[in-house]
Amino acid sequence: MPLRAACTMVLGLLLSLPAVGEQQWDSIRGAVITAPTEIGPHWFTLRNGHTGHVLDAATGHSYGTLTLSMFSPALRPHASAGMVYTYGSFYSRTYYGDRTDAVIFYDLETMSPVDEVIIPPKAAGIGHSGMIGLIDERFVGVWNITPGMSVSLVDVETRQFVGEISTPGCATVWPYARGFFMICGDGALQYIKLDESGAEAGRLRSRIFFDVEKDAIYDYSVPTADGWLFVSMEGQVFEARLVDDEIVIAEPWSILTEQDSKDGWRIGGRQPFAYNAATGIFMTLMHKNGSQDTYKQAGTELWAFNRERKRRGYRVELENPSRNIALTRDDDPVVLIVGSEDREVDVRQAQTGRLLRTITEVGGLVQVF
Amino acid sequence: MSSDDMLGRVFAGVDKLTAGASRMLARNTSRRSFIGKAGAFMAGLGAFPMLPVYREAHAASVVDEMGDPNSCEYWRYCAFSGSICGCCGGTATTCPPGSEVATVAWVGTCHNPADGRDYLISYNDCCGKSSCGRCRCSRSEGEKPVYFPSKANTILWCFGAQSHAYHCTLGLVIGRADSTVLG
Repeated sequence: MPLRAACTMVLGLLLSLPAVGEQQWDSIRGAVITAPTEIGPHWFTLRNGHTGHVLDAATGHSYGTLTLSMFSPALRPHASAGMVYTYGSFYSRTYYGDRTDAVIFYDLETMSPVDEVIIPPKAAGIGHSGMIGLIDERFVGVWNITPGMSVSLVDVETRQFVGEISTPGCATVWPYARGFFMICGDGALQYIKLDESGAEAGRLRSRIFFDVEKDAIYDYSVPTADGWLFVSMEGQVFEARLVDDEIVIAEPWSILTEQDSKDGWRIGGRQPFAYNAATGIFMTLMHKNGSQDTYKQAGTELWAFNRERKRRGYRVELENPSRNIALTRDDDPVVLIVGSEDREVDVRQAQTGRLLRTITEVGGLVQVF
Repeated sequence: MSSDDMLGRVFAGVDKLTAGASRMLARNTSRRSFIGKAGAFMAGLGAFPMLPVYREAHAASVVDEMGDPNSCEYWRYCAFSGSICGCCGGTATTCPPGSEVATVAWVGTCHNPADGRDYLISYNDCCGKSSCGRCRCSRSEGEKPVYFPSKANTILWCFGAQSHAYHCTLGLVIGRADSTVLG
């Protein structure tokens, strides 16, 4: 090494010493941190296999993961309690042996299970958020299929199993007030009303408003300020409310103009639409040249609507097609677009469609707090 | 098939689909035992729509067919979701060693290009082992959401098995779509 170069290197080392000296040595054992207790407006979860991720779309930061069972399709955040609930099935020999099903309580600060309630071994293993609902911040409802259909209820305050309600022909749990809506195979909605203890206090049935053979609605739904919103495979939007002990289904409106239909656009995906009640922004994932058989196909475009005016505001071409979207609940929402080709989540400002950031190496079912 | 569609299958069947009432025929059950099982199943289903089908005890009829049973394009797999059992140590009609066949299933109606006819296909899951993960396939011709299980393929269909851990799926021809008699 030439003398001049050697002198330069030594000088550099000397100059860098003070900076190194200011650093504390790391603990030889490492340490475990906890997540913030205050949940941000853009926090969300992703369920991918038997791992649940808790992330902040505002920064792209991961606050940790939840270890789920291999039969846990969805999470149910309960922000005010600092908890996340899920259900799962466990075999004594992982894939075989004695089976135990439980609703599991995760503490958000430690991202660890802190309690569980055993439920009947009937829970469905289907992958979207309609399989588990938090009802009136008091009860968790879990949809069962054996293939007879029912709902198991757990009291999250007493942490006790409340009971099982038979719901023949009806699926999913969409909570509203102290009860929940279900979608039924005959083309109607059902509402199960609970009493103070979580037992059934009554049930209501809507008019039949869709035909499963002609134009079925998705088995997915998103909440409005006073009900739930359902979408059919042909793009008809139905809004359901509970008014004076009656399920009211509003007249549908279409997300497609005549020209859209001529151009072959269709809705598609597993969580193919999203709604933000604070702004009235409604979004859909769209693909071209399909049929009703492509109702789960990934969208190549994101369309944004004003729900009140029932008009489209903008459309965005997606480089990474998506089957799963969600809108945060605040008044300056972002839309979370989970990629189906690249394992990434695009975060876009909902009002403008502008891409804010991409969160890499995550995917799956998306749910907001 | 997409990774999203297959996600639940890989992780013990989180995204398995259903079928309607009469599609839960065990391939080798006798008519008497089938009726008993179907009766119990129907009681559980309540108001679900039922297909007007029956099973003949001795009816292993021959179907002219062409194609690779380990390919997702195989004609029987028009409403399939999961791993093809032929890639996992079994065949299109038999579960791999050590797995257990589900006694209920969902049904699709698939067009057989070899004879130009439509057939009812029963998609029975093989269960009780970790997911095979090979030859993943997801098609949805005539497939419906989970509240209509007779045609839905996103339910974990390991009913009747001792473990509902998903392994792979069969495609059984159980009759002609234009007939009330199952083959």
